[in-house]
Amino acid sequence: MSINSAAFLLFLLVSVCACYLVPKRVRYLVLLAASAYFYLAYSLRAACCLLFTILLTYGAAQALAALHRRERAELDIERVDRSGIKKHGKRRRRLVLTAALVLNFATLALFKYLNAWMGTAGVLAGLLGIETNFRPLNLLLPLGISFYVFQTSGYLIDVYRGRVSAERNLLKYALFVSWFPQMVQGPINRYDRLLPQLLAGSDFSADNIKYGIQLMLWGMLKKVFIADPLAGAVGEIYGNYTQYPGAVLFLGAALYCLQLYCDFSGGTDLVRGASQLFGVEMAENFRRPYFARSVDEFWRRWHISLGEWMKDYLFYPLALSGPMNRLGKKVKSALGPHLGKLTGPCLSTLIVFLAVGIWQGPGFSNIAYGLWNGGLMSLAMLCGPLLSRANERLGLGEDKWWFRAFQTLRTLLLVIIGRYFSRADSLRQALGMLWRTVRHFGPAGGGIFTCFGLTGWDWLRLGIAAAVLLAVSILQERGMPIRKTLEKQSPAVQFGVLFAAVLLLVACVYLNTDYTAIMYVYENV
Amino acid sequence: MSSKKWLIMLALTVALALGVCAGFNILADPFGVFGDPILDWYSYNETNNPRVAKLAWLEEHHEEFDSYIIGSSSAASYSTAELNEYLDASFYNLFVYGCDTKDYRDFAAYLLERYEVRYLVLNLGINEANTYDTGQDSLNDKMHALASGESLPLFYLRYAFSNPRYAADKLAARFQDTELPQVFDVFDVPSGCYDKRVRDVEKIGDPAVYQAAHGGDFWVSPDSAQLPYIDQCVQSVAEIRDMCAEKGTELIVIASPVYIGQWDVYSRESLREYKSKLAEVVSYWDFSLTPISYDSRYFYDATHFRNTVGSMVLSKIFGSGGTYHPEDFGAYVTARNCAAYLDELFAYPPASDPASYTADVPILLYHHIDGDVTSDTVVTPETFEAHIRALAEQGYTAVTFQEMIDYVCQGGTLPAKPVCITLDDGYLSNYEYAWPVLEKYGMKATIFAIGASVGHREFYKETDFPITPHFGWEEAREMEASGVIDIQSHTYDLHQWEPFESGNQIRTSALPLEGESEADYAAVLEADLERYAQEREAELGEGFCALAYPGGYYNDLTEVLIHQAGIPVTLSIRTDSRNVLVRGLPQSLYALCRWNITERTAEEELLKIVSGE
Repeated sequence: MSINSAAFLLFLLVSVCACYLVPKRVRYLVLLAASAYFYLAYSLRAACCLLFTILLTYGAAQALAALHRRERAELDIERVDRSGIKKHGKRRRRLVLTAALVLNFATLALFKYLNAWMGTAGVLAGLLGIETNFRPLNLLLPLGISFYVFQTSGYLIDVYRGRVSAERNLLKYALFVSWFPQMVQGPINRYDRLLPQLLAGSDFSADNIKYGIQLMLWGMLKKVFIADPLAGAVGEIYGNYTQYPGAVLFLGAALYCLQLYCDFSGGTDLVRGASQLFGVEMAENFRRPYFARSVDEFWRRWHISLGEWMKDYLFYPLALSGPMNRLGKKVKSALGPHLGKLTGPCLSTLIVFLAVGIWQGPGFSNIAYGLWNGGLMSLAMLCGPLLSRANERLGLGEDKWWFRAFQTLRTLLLVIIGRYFSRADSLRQALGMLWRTVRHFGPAGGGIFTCFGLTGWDWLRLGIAAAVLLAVSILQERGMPIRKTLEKQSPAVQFGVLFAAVLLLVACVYLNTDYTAIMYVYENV
Repeated sequence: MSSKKWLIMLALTVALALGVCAGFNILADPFGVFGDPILDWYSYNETNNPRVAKLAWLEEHHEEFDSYIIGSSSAASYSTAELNEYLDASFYNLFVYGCDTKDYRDFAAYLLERYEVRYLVLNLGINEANTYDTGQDSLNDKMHALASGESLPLFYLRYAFSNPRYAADKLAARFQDTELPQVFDVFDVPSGCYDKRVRDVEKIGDPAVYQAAHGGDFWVSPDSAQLPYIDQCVQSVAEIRDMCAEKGTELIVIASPVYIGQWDVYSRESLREYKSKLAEVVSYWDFSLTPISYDSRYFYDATHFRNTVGSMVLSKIFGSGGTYHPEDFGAYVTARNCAAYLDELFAYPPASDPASYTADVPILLYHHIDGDVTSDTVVTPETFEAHIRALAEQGYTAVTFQEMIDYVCQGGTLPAKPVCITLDDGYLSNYEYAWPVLEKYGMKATIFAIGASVGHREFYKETDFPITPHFGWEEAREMEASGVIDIQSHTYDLHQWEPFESGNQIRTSALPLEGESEADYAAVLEADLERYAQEREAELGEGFCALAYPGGYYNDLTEVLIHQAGIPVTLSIRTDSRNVLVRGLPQSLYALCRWNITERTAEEELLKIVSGE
């Protein structure tokens, strides 16, 4: 069931009605049933995989909670060796946590990386003269596995740290993991923010419904009118990059940035809107990332829930770890306090972005993508003071609009270069494209627009949708609350926007309804 | 606006938008579900989804029919007109592409339950035992609820709220519609058959040319040698047989002609099992492996035999010898003779020798014969005689177009070294010089006379412009009576000479004028053919069977209109392929090539042309 299909809308309508018709205390069961239906409609095998993760992390969380309780009970009795009990308890909890995390991430690795890694191992073995007979396994990547594995792992770490208490009701916990709107494109929700909303059973609110629909429409605009038409065009350029000059490749990478943003953030808006219909607000995942003025800021605006997850569960534990502190001290004594202070953050950033690269998918191009971003951010940290001084001397400051624009464009350029890696099928392809972009940039001119297989009508439609997106984004960047502002307009304006939105809705639904151009039977019979 | 008002407004607007979409879908009706109230364009609808549109159309027209053909797309090649004539019935061809035997059963049940059916012709290919119940649920493949038993309201709702792009496509196609079928309107609605007018005027003859043009269409996927759905197929046939028996309907089962490439994919054991089990439940006509199976020219592609082969099949079953078909073409298989029949079929499969059913007939083109050679359309009497003498001495026998037609359509014979001599325009010199020479050497020729110029000895039509003298009907009668000369058509007046014409509708060829509508063009061409035929009939006793295109120019529509008018032979002035006549393939008489012979053509060169060296 595609999230922008008529079937999904119907499913949503039935689920919302059912949700508000039952008493609040059992409402979570309706939400769980809807989530189970949504996931089972996708695949039974994937549902089994999801169930495994639910049971694994539920069991591990219960074990951690039990260990906590046991530790507290022992502490209540024992008055002498309290630190020994704490140390012992922590060790046992760490063992449980590590085992659960390893198993949890193993399922992700199995589905997402095993085939690619085995293939690479086969190639390496071949280079060493060892014959392997590896055949790819038939592993369909379960829907949302990257999201729910991270979400449940974060929950486990929070339980381990004692930040949250483990949910005892398996059904409620299952709802937290399998809440259907988050299964398609995230975000990675936090237990303490999501589950209370799911269980609270909010009253029916016309505002919630209205805002939910508006968010869904906005997501559809981005997905259907920008991302979907660009998908084929971008695929053509990346797939046949040797046939195109650098200018086309660069434009292709830039369009891929737009496509990815609209697909990912559009999808997220759509599911956040769907969630809001039930009175459940999910975490915001994008905040106009292409307006960022540095790579660091970009990552605070792009896939925010992943960035926060990485920060809380990987960056800080790494940066504040004992070995990292010791390394920092050594560097400080050898190379000075500035580098010593930055050793931990820089190395941790590199490791975090290596993980982000791997999270994106298997393949060296993704690792290179992670390192590109991590490297840029580490470099920015290292050169930060130097650049600040240089800017100060040159009189460049953020009070100048053109300097801010320059920073934004510079960041955008770096992001586009990164997209050479994240979209390419291999590192070789990404490097080949970069090489062609630099060495064979021309011929440019208007002709470059004809390479994408899009008609003039497609470009026009795309252009209008992108212009609307840009205008709204600029207004939002300036702090204008779009929905509130709209509500203050005259009924005629509001109706006009509503009418356009309905047209959009109908177009969205229909563009995704089954359609086969008339068969060319006559040529074949 | 409050949120509640906003939501109410939203609901109303959505309802209105959906209503507009549904209205648009119902009025444009791209699948013919709602009676196509405005465009009434079922050829388009059936192309979109024949399962739905054909049944919807039949609902309105079933009273015109009492018999039906059921099958997948190869059944499209059976002519309902021929069946009507053979069986004195009114047939509708309810074939549907991509059908399987479950669909056949559903169609049969639908027809037999709702209507009175005299004959049911069931066509079975090999694929019927290779797939079963492949019914898709898409709008293009769905079965009509009338036959599938699905809820009718849901069925109509689904089409009413289908993607409006279908309806928009239909409207857009309407603006591109032409007289001839295109990819979006491939059905001949009144008969239910494919509209093969364009495909069936494709010139066929030279096997190398056909292979170059269609070789790719004859590739067969060697997926599996097994036929996994024999039992399901046979079971469906048995159910159809029982339904027919119950209703008193005569069931005629035909195992359709199969191209050898497809036949060879399957193991002998599977094919034998299929045919044996089928014979156990029903007697059938088996045309699957016959001499024509070995020649791709009898097929549109690997899985579809030509309409002309369909005529051969019907002729074999119902005819009395009027239409050509190979001698050992098809057999009637019953439970009793099946084992022996299959033993022989597999032990001694039918052989095919192209020499036995094809003939290469070179056609020479002359114009004026005169001592004063002013162009390449003039040869001297001496040269003409030298050419004819050379041909006669080398053992060539001149043939007429009627003999060629008899060879192709009736299975007639042609001499060992045939040659066809033609003279264009109808000059008096043909009468004065060519005729006596031809008679002298025992040869024959065809003169393509321009109707409007016949008898004009001094001036171009009704003008004062002097022209080369043309013979009159008197001379024509004399020549035809001798049996040496055959007068055919070079059009009545579509070979106009521009400098001598006035007005802005000057036709120098049989092609349409620039910007001329198809209807106007068809009217002009048909009137021209009619006028020539009438004058010829009045002067020489009968119409004509061959037309040489002025300047050699024609297009698909010209060919369609001319063959539709019943003229079996057309001639171009191309020389890019040999004229290989193929028995049973009328297309081998279309747009025949002709070699223009000039004063410079030496006898050796002429002999090379005719021998094809």
